[in-house]
Amino acid sequence: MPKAIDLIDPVKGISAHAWNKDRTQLAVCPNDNTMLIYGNCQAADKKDWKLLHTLDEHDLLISAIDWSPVTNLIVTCSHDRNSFVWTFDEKEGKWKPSLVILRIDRAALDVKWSPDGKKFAVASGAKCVPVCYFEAEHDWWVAKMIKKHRSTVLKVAWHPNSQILATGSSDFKCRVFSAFVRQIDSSQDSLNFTPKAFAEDYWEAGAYGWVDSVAWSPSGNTLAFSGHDSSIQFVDFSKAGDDAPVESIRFQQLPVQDCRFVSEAALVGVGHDMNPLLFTKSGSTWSFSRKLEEKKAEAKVEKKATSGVAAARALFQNKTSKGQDSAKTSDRLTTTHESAISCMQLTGGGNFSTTAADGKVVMWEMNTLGVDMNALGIH
Amino acid sequence: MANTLRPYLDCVRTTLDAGLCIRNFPSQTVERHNKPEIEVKGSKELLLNPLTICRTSGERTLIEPSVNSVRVSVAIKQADEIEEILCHKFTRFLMQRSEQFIIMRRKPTEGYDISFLITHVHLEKMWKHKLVDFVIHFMEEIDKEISGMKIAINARARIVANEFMKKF
Repeated sequence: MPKAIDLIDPVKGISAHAWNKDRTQLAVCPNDNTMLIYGNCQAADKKDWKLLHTLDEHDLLISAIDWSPVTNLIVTCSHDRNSFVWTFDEKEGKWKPSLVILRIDRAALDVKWSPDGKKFAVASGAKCVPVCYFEAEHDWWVAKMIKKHRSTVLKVAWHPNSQILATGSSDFKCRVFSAFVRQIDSSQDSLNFTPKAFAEDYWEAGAYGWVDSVAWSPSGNTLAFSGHDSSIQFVDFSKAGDDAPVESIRFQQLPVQDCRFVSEAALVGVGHDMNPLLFTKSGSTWSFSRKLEEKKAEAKVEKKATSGVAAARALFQNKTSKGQDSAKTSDRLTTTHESAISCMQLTGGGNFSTTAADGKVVMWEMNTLGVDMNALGIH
Repeated sequence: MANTLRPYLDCVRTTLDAGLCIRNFPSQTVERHNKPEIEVKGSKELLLNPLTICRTSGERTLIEPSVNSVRVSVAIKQADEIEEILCHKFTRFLMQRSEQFIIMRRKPTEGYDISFLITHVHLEKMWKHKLVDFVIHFMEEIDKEISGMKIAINARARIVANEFMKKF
């Protein structure tokens, strides 16, 4: 069973969340310009969670948060075109913001730290991707641009070697770029591609819809990207670079908005279906496996009446929890999330957490979901 | 609900369910703005194919999805002139109070009687399945309402005529 915590008012919802390294603290954005940092998040009960910091440096909605496990820095990006890198000041016990000049003139939509924690990439509505790194001599974050997109960039994903960046864009394309920055990276590693300079594109492929999400497998051999046409594509870069084989899977459910590999042979996609979808690899082919959440038995909470007044009250109470169309669909959904899942983070051991506009943080533990962990290679 | 109406409404329901896969999408043409792309129509790639679902030539629904908003336009059955007048007055009455219906547009799209605009903000605040239920319920009820009013008018006309004829 997934574990749900009603953290934020469902009318507000959560637009993004991120965990610290040991998953004791959680940064969430309640669908506005503030970032809340909760502590003691390993506790199962919400009452034990403590709101530690409220950070409201942004002007508009924070669209993405990422917390680097390597450097313990938080980076946020927002629709106000700015990005902040937050450093924790041990002495004062406060998070200190430092503004990053992204040099974009439209909203920022997604941000990701590179796995080594030295760079971060921002997806933006300005049809470009600023890749930022820290310049110690000037004491600020410098942005270098990746262009070549023909529409808004929706998602970015770093290859584990921190030198290759995949982007998903609403021009129906997924692209792979070189994000090798000479000042930061010592020697260039370019997978099976011929090495290229920063911002040059290695590879590109199309889908039949907006590319909503991209993800690299833990080894960096496989790239997955999902299209808004309810499809997901797997690209195997282990042997070939330019002519890597693409495997496309179309599924019945509604499209996926975010996806992550939980192991080399398993990917979880979350999105409009409100129920995480599991894709698995057997042999060399990928396929849709199942929805991760089984249908709950419909809980009937029709209260027994003991007196006349209580009976009348129960009648109305039952009415409020029923829709006008109660014969066809019951009021409550059978899924834990009650709106499209917008953000997903891995929490180690194949587990992950999701947030949506219903204000819930849901923890999914793979071993409780009836998944064959060994077959998927989750350790 | 009449049996013939059921497949029509079911079709609208499933189309809306698939069409309402929308996200928060800030404008890529105007700085710091966030507009429903289906109204602005600034970038072609952000719009999906519009769908028309017809029951008869007079009764049809147009669903136009985009990246952050969906426009639903309904043409209501109008069999004769009385129904036309009733429909016009009734939709006008509703649309003047559109803010109370949250998703209703103040003006219908060309060729339709009433339009709804559903944006990502609505989906963040409300349950998606209840929103779809509302649209379906509205379509069900408006037919009923108009035929009810037509019967009331006819009944009243008969009484008036009766009273008038007594004079002679």
